[in-house]
Amino acid sequence: MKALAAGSGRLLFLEALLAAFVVYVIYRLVCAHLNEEIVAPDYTYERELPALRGSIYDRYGEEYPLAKSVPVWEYRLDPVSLTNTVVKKRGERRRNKGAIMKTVADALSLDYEKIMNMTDNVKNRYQFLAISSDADANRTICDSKLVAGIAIEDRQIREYLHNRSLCHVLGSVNAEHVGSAGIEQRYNRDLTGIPGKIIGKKDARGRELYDKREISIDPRPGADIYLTIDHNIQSDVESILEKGIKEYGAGSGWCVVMDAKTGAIYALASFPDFNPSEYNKAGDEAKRNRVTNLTYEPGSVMKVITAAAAIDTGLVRPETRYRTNRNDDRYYRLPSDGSHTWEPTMTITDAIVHSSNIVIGKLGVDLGPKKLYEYMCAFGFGKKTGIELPGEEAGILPHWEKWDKVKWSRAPIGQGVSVTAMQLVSAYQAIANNGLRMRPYIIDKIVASDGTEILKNSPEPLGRPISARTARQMRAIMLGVASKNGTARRAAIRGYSVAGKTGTAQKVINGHYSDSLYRATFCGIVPATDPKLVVLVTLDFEQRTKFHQGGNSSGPIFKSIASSALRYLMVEPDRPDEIEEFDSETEFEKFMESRGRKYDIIESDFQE
Amino acid sequence: MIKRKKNKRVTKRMSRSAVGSGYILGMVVLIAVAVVLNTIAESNCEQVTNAIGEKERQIKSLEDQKVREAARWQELKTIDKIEERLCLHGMKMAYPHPHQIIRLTSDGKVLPGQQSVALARKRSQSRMASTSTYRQHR
Repeated sequence: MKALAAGSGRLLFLEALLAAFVVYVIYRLVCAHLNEEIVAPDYTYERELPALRGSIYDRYGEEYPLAKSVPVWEYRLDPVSLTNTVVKKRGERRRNKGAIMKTVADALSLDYEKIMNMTDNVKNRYQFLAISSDADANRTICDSKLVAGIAIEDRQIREYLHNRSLCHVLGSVNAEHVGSAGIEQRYNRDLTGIPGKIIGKKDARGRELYDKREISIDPRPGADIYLTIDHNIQSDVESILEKGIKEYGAGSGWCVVMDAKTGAIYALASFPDFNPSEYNKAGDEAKRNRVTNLTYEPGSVMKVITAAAAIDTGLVRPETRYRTNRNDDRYYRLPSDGSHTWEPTMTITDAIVHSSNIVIGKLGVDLGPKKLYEYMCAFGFGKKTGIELPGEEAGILPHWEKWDKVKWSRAPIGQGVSVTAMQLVSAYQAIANNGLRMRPYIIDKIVASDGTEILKNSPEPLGRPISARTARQMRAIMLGVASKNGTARRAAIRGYSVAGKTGTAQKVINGHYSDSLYRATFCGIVPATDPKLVVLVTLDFEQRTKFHQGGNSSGPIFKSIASSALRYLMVEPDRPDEIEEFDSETEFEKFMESRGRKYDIIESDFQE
Repeated sequence: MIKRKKNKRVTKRMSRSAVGSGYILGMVVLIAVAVVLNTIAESNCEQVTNAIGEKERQIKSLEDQKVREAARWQELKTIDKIEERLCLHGMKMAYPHPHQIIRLTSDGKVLPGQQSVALARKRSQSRMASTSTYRQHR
């Protein structure tokens, strides 16, 4: 009886234990499904969703992006994982290393031998294979039945769709996708998007529990930047300039095309250039944007500013005559004039047309350093233009009180002052725009991903250095430069009036002016009667050539660029008689090259 | 008698044991059912989870693909690529000279003040004059 009771008690205890266990299991199951607190805090799941960097477009907007971020896959080879893995394919029992690498090589268009050698280097895990945006290749490599030992990482790369084109404006991004030059650097904060985030819970295997997702924030792509650049004009400018640099034997060259009325930049090129996708491989000289980041003595192109200042103050008129002798006691150490001084006197117009150093030097001295300095400042020299590009130089324009007496006659002809190409083109824009100088700008607008405009640029006047009358007079004077008598007859365009000025500046080497190294510039306004474009071309010669003068090298390049841009913009010719007279461009060029017939300056076109 | 008693005891023991094992069996079945239900529920959850994950991946993949394809198409439209293609067929594009362009309004009328029109008129007049002179001469 006792034994029976003891046996029954044990059984009951066992049953109770089992029942308790069942209750506990059920309780745990219910908790696991219903009670959130049962999940330990270690199971928090967090994932960042990368945001695409904003795009950069030209003036035509979304149709023609210049820079764009694209999601891609980065493939890396892990030789250890490859050798330890057996991959089976339908119909095959197992695949060897060679077959796997053949599949990878075919998918990613890689050299089979090269990647087979990589598999032998077992010490180096995660060796870089390729970056690819090919979805088919990705599908093949993701198939574990075909491929093993390849690590795939989602990334985004910056694509510069026009390759080297506009590289100095666009700049580049580094490996971390942070802007390191150009617009990419200056507007990095706007271009960079805000990454999204997912916070929730994960299971024991690290997978996200979707029903436990707590926070889900979508990524916000970066803002898009719209430039004033026209990719068609830019393309022409780059090809013509590059060809011109080679043809005339220059070491480097740069060019700006600006809207004469608004100051908007249509094209900006600087050579040598670089590939933005391989920014690290580019040399320092190639990375330099010579339009905004290089200061140099402008040479004779500055004579226009001196003449404009003298006419604007009422000191002289275009027909005022100056003596061309250097032995005048009133002037201290005048610059020489080379072969131009064949006449005893010269008008201000002729001094510009023939680029007389003596006459403009005398004019500068008569104007006085203070006035000249004030006009130079008003034209924007000595301070940054405010264009939206990083590293812009202000140039060197010492205060007039610090000028010595030699500088009184040298600054008027563009010696002893340093400027940037952007400052020069901006000063000429004032002459083109009837005296009103506009701020040069290259960014039209910045638009956030939700469509709101962060920045909208509109033409911004910076001042009126000269009156409208003086500007018209100056354009009339400058017409002669690109005429048969001028220093830039090769810059004349059939059907259009060209107002411009050449400049052949000696380079300063070890503190002295070089007799063999020059910078040849031509800055022109077209059509001169109703200006649409201001174009500046400069070639930098690193060795003596016969084309070192502005009219011989930069002039023809200007002509090609300006005529191409005028045709593209469908600007009406203001000299139809030339089109009537000369059937082809070649005929017109021959006429301009032949001496004997003076081409008259039609000042009546510039009357108010 | 003794035998009967013995038999009775045996019968009693057997009946108690049957009740206990039935109870245990019930418990085991209950656990098994709970485990099966939990497994089914978990499996369903996992399926839904996988489906959600797959859809999310699909959306991301399609969005990325759209960006990639747009970039590829835009690259094909760049000047270099178009010129390369044209060059293969021996062609080269150039902009027309403004004096070769005649601008019309939407209803087909010639816009005033165009050099191209003036030039064309001038040329046609001179051609007419030369033709009439030639006829008169004949």
